Amino acid sequence: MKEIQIHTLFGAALLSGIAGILLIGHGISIGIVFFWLPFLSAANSVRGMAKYGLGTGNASIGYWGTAVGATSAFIASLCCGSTPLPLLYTATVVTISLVIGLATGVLADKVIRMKIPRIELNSAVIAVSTALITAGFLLIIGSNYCLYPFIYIIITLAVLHPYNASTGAGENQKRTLLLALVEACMTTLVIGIVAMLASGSAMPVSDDVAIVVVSVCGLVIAVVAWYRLVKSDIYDIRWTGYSPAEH
Amino acid sequence: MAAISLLLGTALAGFLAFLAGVFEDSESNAGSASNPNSQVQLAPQIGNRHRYFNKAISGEPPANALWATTAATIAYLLTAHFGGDAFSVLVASIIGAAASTLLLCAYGVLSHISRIASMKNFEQTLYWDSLLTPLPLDAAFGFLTALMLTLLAFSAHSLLGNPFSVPLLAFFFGITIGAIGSSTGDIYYGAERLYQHYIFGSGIPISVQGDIDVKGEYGYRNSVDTPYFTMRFGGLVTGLAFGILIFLDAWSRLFTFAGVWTSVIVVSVLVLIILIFIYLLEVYTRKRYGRYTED
Repeated sequence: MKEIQIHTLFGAALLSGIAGILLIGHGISIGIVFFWLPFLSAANSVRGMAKYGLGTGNASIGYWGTAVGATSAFIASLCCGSTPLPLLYTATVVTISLVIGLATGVLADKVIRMKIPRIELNSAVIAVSTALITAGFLLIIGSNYCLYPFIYIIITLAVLHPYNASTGAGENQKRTLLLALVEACMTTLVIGIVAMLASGSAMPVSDDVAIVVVSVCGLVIAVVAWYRLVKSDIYDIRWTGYSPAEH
Repeated sequence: MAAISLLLGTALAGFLAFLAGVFEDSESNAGSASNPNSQVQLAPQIGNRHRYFNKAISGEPPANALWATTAATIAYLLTAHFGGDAFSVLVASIIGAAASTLLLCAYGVLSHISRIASMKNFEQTLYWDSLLTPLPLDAAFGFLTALMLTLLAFSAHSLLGNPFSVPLLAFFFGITIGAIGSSTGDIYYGAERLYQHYIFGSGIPISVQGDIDVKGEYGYRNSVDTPYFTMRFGGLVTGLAFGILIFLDAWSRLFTFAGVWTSVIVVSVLVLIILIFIYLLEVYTRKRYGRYTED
């Protein structure tokens, strides 16, 4: 099966992420669904780097990219997060993360000599995608610095995990990306719940409830699609038993 | 009053850290996470089809950072709603830990099914019972770890006066405990328990990687057996390492002889003492037992 190219997915994720920030910036909270594509793009780039032999050690490579992305968004939110122009905020987030993401990729290739094909491109993609998601989540939850560690780590795991969980000879891009979608929906669901708590009001805010509802709907659809693919890929599924070769 | 609070905080932090270490190592072993996970992953490729819970969640440090940070963040936000006294901190921490445990279960189930689906070429079957039997055990240990780390973060912040926020402290504790569990505790599971049919202490040469024990005392070995075994040593050693680390670090809050530099001086002296002790222990061990020999 033909795989989706990194730059194609990244282009779509960039537009989607920008649309998400603009919608949320204008008070439309369900714009959070536009961050699912950046999750897929970042997970695809982790896959792109880790499949060249890093295997289960993909955590380190993804940490690096997501750290650049999250840090860029945190800096941008401190500089111009309160600006009434979401477009300026978005442009700042994308520019900072793209430059630092590319720089770390070039350093890894030219100075550390990690010898991973297309590490510059993949580092930049992970950084920009993560930065867009982080920037959007900050608009939803609010720029309370106490919540930065939570935002960083929940995005990081959702980006690193799809390939890590699917590693093996039978891994394929479609199933890994569907798992990334499942985890993206799971992440936005948790963000919606945390946003309810962070709002400080006694009753949940309708914007936050909308995030939870669309995330649950997305999660159900994504899990069904992913599990169908699992059933077609897997050797066998049983409730219990032993290997036929042994008994 | 401040001195009593600091002494209480130091003792409580050390105790909570010890418990968190024991639970964390057991949680990772119930799910074959971290280093042993690579061995469980390799097993079907060399013909050892198994019934272990294959829970790969991007390494122990980030996974534990997520459970601890999620629990602490929810607890931190809930505490503001509940009023902020000690009882509300406890209730909020329990709710936060329960929420993070649900996340752990979701990631664990997705990992196991995905990994097995990628093993089609090696004829590895997905047995639901080998996933659903250890999952509640894994979740229970995960809940206790997240709860202990959240309470530890609140203790460090309030009783010990740590300037960082509760979620950030929980994040640091999660990364640290994951790293300790991965380096200290896993050896007892990965290098020993999974390789019991090889001579004790012979290590894991590349030629035998993946050739793990798939049968136990009776029938096929499962992931419920593993914490039963590792709790006796690996869990306690992980708890001891993390407990000592937090307990000694808390000492830096007990003294004030050099102003803001006090903690730097106290911790530097403690690190120096530990390094000297480790050096002497290694020299003694090498002299006492010598090199590893094939016989």
